[in-house]
Amino acid sequence: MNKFQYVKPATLNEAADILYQNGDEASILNGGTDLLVRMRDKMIKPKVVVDVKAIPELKELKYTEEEGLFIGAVVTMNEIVCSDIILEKYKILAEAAHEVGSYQLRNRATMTGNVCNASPSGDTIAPLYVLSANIKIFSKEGIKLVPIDDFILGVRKIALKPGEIVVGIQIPPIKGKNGGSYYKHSRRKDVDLATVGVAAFCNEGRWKIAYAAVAPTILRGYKAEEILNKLDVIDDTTLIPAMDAAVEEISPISDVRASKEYRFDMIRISLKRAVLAALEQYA
Amino acid sequence: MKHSISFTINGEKVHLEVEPHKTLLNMIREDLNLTGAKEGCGAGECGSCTVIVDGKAVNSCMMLAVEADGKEIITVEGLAKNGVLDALQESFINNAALQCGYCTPGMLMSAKALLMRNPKPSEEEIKEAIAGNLCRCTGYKVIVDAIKEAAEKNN
Amino acid sequence: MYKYVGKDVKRVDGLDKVTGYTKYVDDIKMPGMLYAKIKKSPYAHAKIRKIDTSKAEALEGVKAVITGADVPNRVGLYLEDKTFLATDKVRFIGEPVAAVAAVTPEIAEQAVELIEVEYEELPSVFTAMDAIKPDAPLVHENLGEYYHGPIFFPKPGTNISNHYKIRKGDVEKGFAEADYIMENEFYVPHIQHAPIENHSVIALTEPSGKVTVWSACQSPYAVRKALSVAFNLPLHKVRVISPAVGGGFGGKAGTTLEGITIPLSQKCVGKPVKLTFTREEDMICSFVRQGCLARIKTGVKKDGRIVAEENTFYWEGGAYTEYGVNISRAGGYASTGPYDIPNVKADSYCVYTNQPVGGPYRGFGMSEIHFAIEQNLDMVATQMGMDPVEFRKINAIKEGGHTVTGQQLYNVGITKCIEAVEKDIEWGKKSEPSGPNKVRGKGIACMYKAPSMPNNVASSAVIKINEDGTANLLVTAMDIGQGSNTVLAQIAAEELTIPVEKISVVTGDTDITPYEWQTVASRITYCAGNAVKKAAQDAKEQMLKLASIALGLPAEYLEFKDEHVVSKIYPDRKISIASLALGLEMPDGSGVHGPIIGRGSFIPPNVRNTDKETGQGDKPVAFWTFGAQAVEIEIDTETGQIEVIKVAAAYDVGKAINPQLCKAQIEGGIVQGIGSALLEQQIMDKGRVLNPNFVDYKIPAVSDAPEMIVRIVEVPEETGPYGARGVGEPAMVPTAPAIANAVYDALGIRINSLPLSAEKVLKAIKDSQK
Repeated sequence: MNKFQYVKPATLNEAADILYQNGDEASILNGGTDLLVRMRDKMIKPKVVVDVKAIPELKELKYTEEEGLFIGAVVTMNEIVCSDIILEKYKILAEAAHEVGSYQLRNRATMTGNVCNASPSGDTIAPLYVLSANIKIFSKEGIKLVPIDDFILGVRKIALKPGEIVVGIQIPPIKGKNGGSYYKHSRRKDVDLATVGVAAFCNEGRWKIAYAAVAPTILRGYKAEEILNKLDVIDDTTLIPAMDAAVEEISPISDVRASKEYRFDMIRISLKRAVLAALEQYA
Repeated sequence: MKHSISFTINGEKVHLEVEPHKTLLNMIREDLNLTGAKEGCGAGECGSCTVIVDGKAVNSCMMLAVEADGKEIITVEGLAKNGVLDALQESFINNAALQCGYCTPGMLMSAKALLMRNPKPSEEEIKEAIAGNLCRCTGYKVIVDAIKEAAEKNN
Repeated sequence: MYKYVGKDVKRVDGLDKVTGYTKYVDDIKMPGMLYAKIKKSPYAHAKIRKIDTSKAEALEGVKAVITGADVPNRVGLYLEDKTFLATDKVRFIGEPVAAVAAVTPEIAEQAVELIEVEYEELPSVFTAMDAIKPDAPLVHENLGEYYHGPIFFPKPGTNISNHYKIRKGDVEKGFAEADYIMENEFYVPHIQHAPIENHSVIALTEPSGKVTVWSACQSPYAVRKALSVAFNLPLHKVRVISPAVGGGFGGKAGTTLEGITIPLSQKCVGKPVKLTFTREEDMICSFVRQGCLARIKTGVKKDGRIVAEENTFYWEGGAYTEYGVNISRAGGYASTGPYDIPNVKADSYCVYTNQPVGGPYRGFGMSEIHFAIEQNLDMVATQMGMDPVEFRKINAIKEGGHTVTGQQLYNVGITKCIEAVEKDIEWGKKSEPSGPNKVRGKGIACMYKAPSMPNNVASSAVIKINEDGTANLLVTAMDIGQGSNTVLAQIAAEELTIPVEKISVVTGDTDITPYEWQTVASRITYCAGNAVKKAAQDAKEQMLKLASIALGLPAEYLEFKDEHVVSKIYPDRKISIASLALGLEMPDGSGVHGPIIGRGSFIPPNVRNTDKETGQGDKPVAFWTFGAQAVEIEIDTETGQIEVIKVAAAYDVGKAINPQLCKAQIEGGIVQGIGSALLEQQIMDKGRVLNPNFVDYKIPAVSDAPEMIVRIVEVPEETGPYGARGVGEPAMVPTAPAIANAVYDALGIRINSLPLSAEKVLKAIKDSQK
């Protein structure tokens, strides 16, 4: 790890100043589970590391009927997994958060960190796509909300300018019957990255689908959604056209985890399993 | 620039000056000479560096030492109290739940954190708690048995 | 019958390990310590034209820089083909070419980046089949000049560093008589040892030139020997200490980083130099299990008897095969598996490739060959319509039967092992899958293994009796987790009638603890166990003489009981071991004999060379361990994922000195076997390792452990201590072929290569539907 200056701002304003002054040379330290590995591997060599864990606004986890759910940037995965309100109203998020790393890693890792890493296989990102999450960003100009699919630009690329800091994730309230599930296909049962992941969410009969680890960013499965929305009965057989559509919507690569061909096969199965599991939650 | 930090480790108060780029694991091992926690991968994949920070198991290789300021840390060296072994330590010996011993401190700390938050864990909860602790020797079954035994003893 | 042997004595190292007290090499800190880092080759095969270390040397904090010129002597356990740093050329990506010692690891790392190496790339070979082609680039042009042990047969001018042959009976005639012939090819890829402790060494050179290394090594004496050759040092000037080993599995046998740290320390006399590998370095620069391509041809009579077998093994040995040659030898002399086959032809070739270095790995070739043998056996059984269990029972070596080298065997427990797993897995009974798109299958595989070691390798032990009746047991058998300290203490306790807790075991210091060849080959309980037993007996003989004087009774009327020498006839006439420890005090106040020190030495009796041309020999190994495993698996036919539900294992260990630790070895072996079966493969692209970390090299985690039913069979080995045989390695050998056979049972599909990854299984399912 290279040498760097460590700062721990107490307020958003202070953090924004430091980030603005240091630009690309500053890295935000949140849970650190990705940052420290990347610094160890010398993939990044920040001059300033900005620990945001002392900023009060970032620690919030709250739900209101009007605004929905807010998950502060430093709320950990395990806090999300164990949150009653999330388990009750956004179970898919708890499910996905539980898929991230090991128990001890989830004590440090955060959902905002997962989003800001913008890895194609980030487990919590696909569920945030189907929940139409917004990323709440603070800068000296004020607060803005950016839809997650506008926020994530590419592999490890996000729409965050110098001086901006993610306060948390805002998820709209869900009205009416709904159910969602995240299905992850990986090589090992415990602690593995997704080879393929699918988030499926149904609200009042309208489906939202997102695919993970099959393109440079998470992808929405618009075609599959369209097909699903028209189905009266959803089962193994009627799902086939949607599974076929998923194959057309993705652009996976071959890597050490799987070949492109296998990912095409697994997107079908993952879609099917995610949708069927979402239906089981549907209420 | 070094940072002045204060924290509690195994019940003792400590003040230290640390470089920002030092990991918690390196601080524990090098500055405090507590070498029970190990570095097996340096990337949060093996769990051999697991310690308990404010009641929660964490990978100490993935936390900066400066982040320990104000925290309460327990390492494997703090498990036994006044020469009396923790129930987990006893049960690991009884069940032959260790072989080379390298993963053992991390495994014990994951298990300890589990029993601290959940004194009566199910088998699934035990597995969830140690899923991030790799052991190449035992085949895990005896480790799960040992944690069950310690939990029963505690209750 | 026994008081300590055969009992579940708790690990003697348990307390130190659960308290985090045990000090592994990387835990050791010394005053003035320097830290080393290595410069690695980016090429699979290249000439080194020039190395410029001047910038690195100029960096503040750098204390020493070395290159191949500092370590010119070739070393190797069986074939002296390696130098500790590359000299003339590099032969694999990751090969160390230079090293730095500096005041901090960070400075050492910076300095390594400042070393400039000019290479001239050479053509490379990456598979055994390419490497044996007549026009293949040579990995070692000077193979003919390398010193090697007499039991190895390199072919100079080729990439073949050993060719072991078996010619038994008349294989042509055998196949002519066979009613069924089955021939197939199998491949096992390179895998990692992946102990949780990475390699770590500290070296210190004293002003006298004496070198001490603290090394996480399995074999201090073998390391000492290699270092003495490498650095032209007499043996008494090299001290190897192995404080504790955080898992070995073969990866810490032989020499590792010692040869890099010593020349650095010689340039900074008086300062200890530590080199600890990162996980990535451990996975690229140190031993791996080599790949193996196997061709198996089996000929069987209608009644189920195998009458002929022709097997060829090509081992992808990597850039250096100093150790690998012996794996190919083991593959040869065990080439048929645990079956009695009259006509055999086998050829086992160790082949150089431009890949990471193949070395010893739990099983020492047996996992690789049994993956092939045990599947081919099932395939021919299927063809004949014969039950795989029945087929194995017919052909398994029986009392008085013969191995592939013509060795006649007695006290063979293989049939008992087969019967045990047959029962425990409920062979023949189909169980219901857990859901739709799931299928279940059962499979069985057998194995045998002998310690693969030179015939006359030695063990020794020293027991010092203390004046309070306790004892110190000194051995260089290393407890690498298998529990040898406990087992050896139990043996000493049994002989001496001293409780285990009164025996302190001291290991791993070549200046203090007596000679042990290596802690490998599942040989320690057997070899070191025999040495300890003899040392205890030696101590007892000395004490018996003294007790005889003290008690006024002839020695033959005395026996050892509960820490005393006691009269067999008058139990109240006795003298404590404590009072004999320093010699006997006579009535006039004088003393005789002095301290009791027991000395035990052991070499496996009568192990002899095999014939070079035929591989035949009546006692080529010390003993054979037999075992069987049966598994039940469930396959998700939509994803190809295999879940191992249950494994039944049975091993004939002769005598379990500590049944709990014996079972622990077997359970650990099963799960390591599952890793190699389902998950593990060193993925390489033109010699570059693509997954040198636990992110993408997955070893089993807790959810991968199945239900395990372990049976211990005890048919005593007459030369073993209390009848014991080794079991550490055999534990993982049959797991992968048993799973592969279960895949066939579930799907009717054969997969001939490892790992049985979900992707590979799904592809096989899809191919079968075409």
